[in-house]
Amino acid sequence: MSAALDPVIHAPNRLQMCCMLAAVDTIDFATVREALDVSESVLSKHVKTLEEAGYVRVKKAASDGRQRTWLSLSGEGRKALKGHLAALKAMMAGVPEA
Amino acid sequence: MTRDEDALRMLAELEAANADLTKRVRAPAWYHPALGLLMGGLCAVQAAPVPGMLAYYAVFIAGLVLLVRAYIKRTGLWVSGYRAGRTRWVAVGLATITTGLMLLSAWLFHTRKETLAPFVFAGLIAVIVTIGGFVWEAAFRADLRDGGRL
Repeated sequence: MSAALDPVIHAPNRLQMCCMLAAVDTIDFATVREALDVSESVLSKHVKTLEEAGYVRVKKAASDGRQRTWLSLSGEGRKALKGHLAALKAMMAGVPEA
Repeated sequence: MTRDEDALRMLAELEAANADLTKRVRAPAWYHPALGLLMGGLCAVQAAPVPGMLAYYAVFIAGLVLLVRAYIKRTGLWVSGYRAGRTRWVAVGLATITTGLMLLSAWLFHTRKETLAPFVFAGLIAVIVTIGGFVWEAAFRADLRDGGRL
């Protein structure tokens, strides 16, 4: 793997999650879980990994009478994702057309 | 899996994530017309006495809060109107047109004594904001299909 690929983002679910977060301001944990079709515990682990790397911000807030967890991509996370995608596209540049 | 296959897989996942998001970012059908009416009302109250204007401002803020809540409840996410990409151009265009029309309406009402101006411009703003809202959503979906802007 190229050094430019970010190992924190590289895992399939984390890459998808980062891409979703990059397109929005904030997204509900349950919405991401449904979109990725993973269990709560699996998603929690991914979120924790991204949060510890400083890529994702986690905020808990009450909404419609229940506690919801909101996720957003940090500036650092956006920068890392940009670098990761640029590395991917560079790799793809060498792939011949099907 | 080779490096290239790995890259292909990841790009396919990226497209899948954006495709999923594209399906989710649909506001309720009444969302944009309601926002249009709220914005139009902001122009119409130029013709109202100060207490009426103040009362409407309270209704306007409460209406915005309810709209945001309804959007979040339906989509499970929130997107800034001014996010980068095509959407920013739509949002800036809408804000510029709406502000321009409101100022023109106020000028016509106060200096030219055109008493109907706030109501005519209110209708115009309501239509423009409603259409603009749908255009903004279409622009957002187009941004997502193109891989989006980071």
